[in-house]
Amino acid sequence: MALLEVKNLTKSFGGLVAISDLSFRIGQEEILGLIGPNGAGKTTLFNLVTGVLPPSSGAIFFGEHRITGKPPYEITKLGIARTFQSLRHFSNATIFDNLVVGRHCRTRAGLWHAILRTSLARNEEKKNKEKASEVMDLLGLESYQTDLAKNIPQAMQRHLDIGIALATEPSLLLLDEPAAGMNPEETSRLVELIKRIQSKGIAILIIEHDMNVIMDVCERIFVLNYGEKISEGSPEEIQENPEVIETYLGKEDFDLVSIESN
Amino acid sequence: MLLQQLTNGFILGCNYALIAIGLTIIFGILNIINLAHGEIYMLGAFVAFFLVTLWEVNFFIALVIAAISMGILGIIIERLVFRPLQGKEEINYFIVSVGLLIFIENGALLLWGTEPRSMALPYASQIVRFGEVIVTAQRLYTVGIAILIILGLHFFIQYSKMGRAMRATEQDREGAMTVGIGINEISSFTFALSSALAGAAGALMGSLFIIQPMMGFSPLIKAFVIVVLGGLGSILGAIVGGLILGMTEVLGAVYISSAYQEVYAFIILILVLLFKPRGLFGKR
Amino acid sequence: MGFKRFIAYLGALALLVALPFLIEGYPLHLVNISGIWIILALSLGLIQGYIGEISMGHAAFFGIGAYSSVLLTMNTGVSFWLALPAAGLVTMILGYAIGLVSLRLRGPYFAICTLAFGEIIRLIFINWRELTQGPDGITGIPSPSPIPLPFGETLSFSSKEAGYFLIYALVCLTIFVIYRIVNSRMGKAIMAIREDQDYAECMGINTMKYKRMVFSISTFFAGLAGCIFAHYMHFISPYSFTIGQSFDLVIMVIVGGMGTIIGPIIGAVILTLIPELLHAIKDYRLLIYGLMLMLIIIYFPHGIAGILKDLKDRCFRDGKKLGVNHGPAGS
Repeated sequence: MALLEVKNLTKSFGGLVAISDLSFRIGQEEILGLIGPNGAGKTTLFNLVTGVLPPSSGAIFFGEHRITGKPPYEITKLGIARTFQSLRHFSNATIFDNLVVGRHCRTRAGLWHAILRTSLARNEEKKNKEKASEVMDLLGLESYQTDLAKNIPQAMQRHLDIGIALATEPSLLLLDEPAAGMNPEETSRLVELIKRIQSKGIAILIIEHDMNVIMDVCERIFVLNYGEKISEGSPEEIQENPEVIETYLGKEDFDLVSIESN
Repeated sequence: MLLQQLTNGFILGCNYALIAIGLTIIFGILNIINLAHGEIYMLGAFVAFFLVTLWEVNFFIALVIAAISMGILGIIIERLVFRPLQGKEEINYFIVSVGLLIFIENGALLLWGTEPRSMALPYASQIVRFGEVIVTAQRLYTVGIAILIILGLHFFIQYSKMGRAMRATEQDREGAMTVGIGINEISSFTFALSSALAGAAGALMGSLFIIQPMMGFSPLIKAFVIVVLGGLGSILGAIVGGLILGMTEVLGAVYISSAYQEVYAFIILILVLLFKPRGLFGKR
Repeated sequence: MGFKRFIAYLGALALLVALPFLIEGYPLHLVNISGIWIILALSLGLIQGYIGEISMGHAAFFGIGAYSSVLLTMNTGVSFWLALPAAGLVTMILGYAIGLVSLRLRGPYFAICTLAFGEIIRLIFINWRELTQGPDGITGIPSPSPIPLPFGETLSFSSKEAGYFLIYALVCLTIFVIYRIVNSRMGKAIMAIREDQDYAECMGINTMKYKRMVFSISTFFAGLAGCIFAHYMHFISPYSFTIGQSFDLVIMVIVGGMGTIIGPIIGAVILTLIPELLHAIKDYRLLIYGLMLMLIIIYFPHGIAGILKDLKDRCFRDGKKLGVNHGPAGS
C-alpha cells in the first residue's frame, strides 16, 4: 500500500482552478520530486495534503487513513510534516525551544500534569531533550542550541525548519523549496541531509527549482503545470520529455545548463 | 404610520451611514480599525454646539467648521498616534485606538462634565408635511446634507486624483507605492476625510439629539455593526447597512423594550462577526 | 534554586504574611482591593499575554463569579467555602461557551466579540431583576463563614486582616498555577499559538483546544475573584462589571507587560494604588490611563515589565564593563 495516495484532487478558488484532477502516490521511504513553473500549484498541493486548505473534490489517503478534510494538527499527528517556502519558525525562541514545539504531538502531559509537575511531565521533558539533541545532530544545529532562531545564519534557519518538522516524527516529509537562497556548498549539504533523512525511513515529497538537487535525490519526479500533472517518471525520463522541456524553455527557474553539466 | 416610521428610519439611517463611511474607508485603505472614531464624532458635535450656542454662528457654517476642525484633528492623530506604529501587527492599531478613545472621552468629561446639552436651533421645530408624513425642518436639513455629502464623496473618490490614488492603495498597497503614491499622504488624507465625515455626522446628529461626552460610544458600536455587515472597506455597504440599521432601530423601538433592544443589537453583531465577517459587499 | 533566590523568596513571603499587622484601615483595604485586581489581571494576562488575543469583556466574568456565589450563599444557604469553587466553575462553564463562539475569531474581531458578550452580560445583570435585583445591586452579602478550629475556637473571616489572607492566598494560588502552566508542555504550545497560530497548527498543535482551555482557566480565576470580591465588599451591583472595568483590566495587562507573570501584577498594583496615593490626579485617572496605553503601545510595547527588564540587563552589562563581573571574552 502506498504511503500517500492522492486521487482526483481538484481545488478551485472561485473561478480559478488551482489543482485539476490530480492523482499520484508516494511509496514508503520514497523521495518524490515535484517540479513546475511558479504558480503551477505546487504549494497549493502541499496545503491540500496537510489540511490547510480543503479540496473542492477528490480524496487523499495516508496509509489506511482518509485524511481529506482533517485539520492540520491531526494530519501532522498521523505522520505528515512540512516546511514552508519562506522561512517559518519561532524567531524569538531558541533553537532548542523551537524543536521542542515539534515534539508536542508526540507527548501528552496536559493541564493537571503541568500544575502538579507529575513524573509523566518530567519524563517527557527529558525525552524531549534527547529527541531534540538527535535532530540537532542530524541537522548540524548543536552549536546553535541556545541561540535565538532569528540570529542564526539563513541556511541554518532552513535546517531549523526541517528540524522542527522532523521533531514531529513524520513518516512523510513535505519540503517546499528547501534549497532556496542557498549557495552551492550549502546546497550539497542539504542534499546529504535529505539522503540521511530518507535513510531514517522517512519518505519525502520535495518541491524544488534547483534541478541539481532534484536530480540528485529524487527517485521519481512529477511535473505540475497550471494545476495539472503533465508528466511523471524517473529523472532521466523527465529530462528527455519534450513536453516538459517545452514548458520550461525560457523559464529561468529550470536550469537546463546545470543538468547538462551534471 | 408605517411610512412615518420608515421616514424617520431613513433619516436616522443616513446619519448612521455617514458615521460608518468614515470608519470603513480607514479600514479599506489603511487596514486600521479606529475605535476612536466615535469620539471624533462627539467632538464634532461639541464644536458645532459651542459655535452655535456661544458665538451664535449659523448652524450650516458651524457644521462646516466642525468638519474641517475634525479633519485637522484627524491628520494630527494619524501623525502622532497611528503612524509610529507602521510595520507593526494590526492589533496594535486597534489597541492604540482604544487608548485614544479612553483619552478623548475622559478628556471631554473633565472639560465639559456630564450635563446634557442641546442646540436650540430657532427653526428646529418647524414642521414640514409630506402627505401623511411629518418631518421637522432640522431633520429635513440633516438628511439633505447627509445625502449631499455622500454624493460629493462619491464623485470625489471616483473622479479626483486623490480619490483614484486612494482606490489604488486600497486594491494593492505595494503596487500603489511603486507607482509613486505616497503612503503617508494617503494615510493623512484618509484620516482627515474620515474624521471630517465623523465631525459632520456629529454636528448633524447633535442638532437633533442630546450632546454629551459619552455620546460617541453607542454610534461607534452601531457603525461597527454597519461596517461589518456592509463589508469592511465598502462605502456602498456602509450606506446600505446604515439605512437598514436606521430603519430596524426605529421599527424595533416600537415593538421591543429598549433594554433588550441593545442586547439584540449585540447578538446581531456577534452573529455577523461569526457568519459574515466580510459582510455583504466586503472585499477581503 | 540558588541560595540568594531562596532568601529573597523567603523575605517576600515574610513580608506578605506580616503586612496586615503593619498596616490597617483604609490602606489595608486598598491592598486587599489590589489583590483582587491582581487576580483579575493575571487571569486576563493568560489570554492576552499567552494566547495573544485582546479580550474586552473580561469584567463580565468577574461579575458572573460574584453573582453566582452570592446567589448560592444567600438564596440557597450554601457555605462560602463551597460557593467559592462553585462560582469559579460556573464562570468557567459560561466562559467555555463564550470561548467556543468567540475564539473562532481573531484579532480585532475577537476583541469586539468579547466586548459584545461583555455588554450582553452586563445588560442581563441590570435587567434580570429577579436574579440580580437589577441596578440596585445586592446588599448584605455575608463574610465567608467561620471555620471551626480545635478547642472550640473559630476562625472568623469578617475582618480586613482575614480578608487579606484569603485574597492573597488566592493570589499566590493563581500565580502558582499560571507559573506551572506557562513552564510546561502546555505553556509552550500556547506560546507557539501566540507567535504564529497557523504554523503551530501545522506542527501538530490543536490550537482551538488550547485556546479554549486557556480561556476557560482564565475565566475560572476571574470567577474566583468575583466571589471573593462579593463577600469582602458585602455589596455588588452591575456597575462594578462594565466596559469601564474591562478596559481597566486591558490597560493593566498591557501597561504592566503582556506575556509575563509579573507584568499584570505590576499593572494591577500601579493602576489601583497610584490614583489613591496621588489624590490630586484622581479625577484624571482615566485620562492618564488612555494616555499610558497609547504611549506604551507606541514606545514600550513590552510594558513596564519590559522597561524594568531592559534596565536590569543594562545594569548588569554596565557592571561587566566596570570589571565587576568578567564574563567570557567575545562570544
